Amino acid sequence: MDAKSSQHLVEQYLKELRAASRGLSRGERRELAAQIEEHIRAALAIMPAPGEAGVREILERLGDPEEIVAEQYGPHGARAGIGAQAVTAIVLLLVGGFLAGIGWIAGVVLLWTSQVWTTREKLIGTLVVPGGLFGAFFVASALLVTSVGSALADRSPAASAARTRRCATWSRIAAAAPRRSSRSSTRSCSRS
Amino acid sequence: MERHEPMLSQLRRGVLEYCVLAVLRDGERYGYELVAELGAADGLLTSEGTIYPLLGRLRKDGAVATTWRESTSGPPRRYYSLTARGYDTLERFGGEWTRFRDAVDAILGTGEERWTPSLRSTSSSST
Repeated sequence: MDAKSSQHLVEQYLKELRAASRGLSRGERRELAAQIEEHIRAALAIMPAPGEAGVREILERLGDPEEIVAEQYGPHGARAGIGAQAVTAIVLLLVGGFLAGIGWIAGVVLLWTSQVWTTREKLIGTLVVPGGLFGAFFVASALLVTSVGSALADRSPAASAARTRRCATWSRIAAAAPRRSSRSSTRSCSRS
Repeated sequence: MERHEPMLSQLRRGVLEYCVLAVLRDGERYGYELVAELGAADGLLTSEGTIYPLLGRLRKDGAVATTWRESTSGPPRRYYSLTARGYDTLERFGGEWTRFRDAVDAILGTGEERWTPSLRSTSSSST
């Protein structure tokens, strides 16, 4: 019974450590877990009668997993490296919008549950281009459609009348001050 | 005590890695041994676990090397030893530390000799 609860305490501690070291690289994370496990084993081996109280003491002396990681890597091991979750978040934020928009939402969820970024960075990641590349693509096509629309409208009789008036003004200016650049603009007007 | 904790932790973070290297200068150790030795020095190691990410970094930096050795109880243990590079780092730190400590002691008046302009040249040659 006692051995079982001791085992449980150690497992719980290692689980917390894995959670705290999420921001570290795979290798660093694995190394840290192995080192701590080895430490616990070594400490237990020299204790005359370990028991649950002994295990508690060992873990207490090791310290809070968050603190262990933060001491070396900063809070949550933030800048130590980017894990699989962070990479997935970035990819989904960029191109997830093409997956019926749901991919981008999944990316946002991963972004906010990740411990790699600060709240400010998460806000930027979410709001700068909602929908990621898909959003940008969407906005770009919307702009394209409106500009094509206005170009078509430009061919209407009213628009060509306006262009003729503009050209006439240009020709007068060009005649007053003949320069090479104004000559070329008159030429393009006469051609249209 | 609690009030001074942030200041102490800053100082500790700065010197702990050199203390690790210094312990390893006397020969290789496994993690728990290192922790026990450093823990014996008052105030140097508040939570023992913090030594492990540090050892990981020192290994990556090439200041410390690891080898596996069989243990009498349970699976093999990783032993940490000082590399030539780690030795150089420690030597350099030793020199800097003495200068730094003397300078701070002199200003705070906590050293054996109070700082006076005339002592400045003699204290550096005496060390």
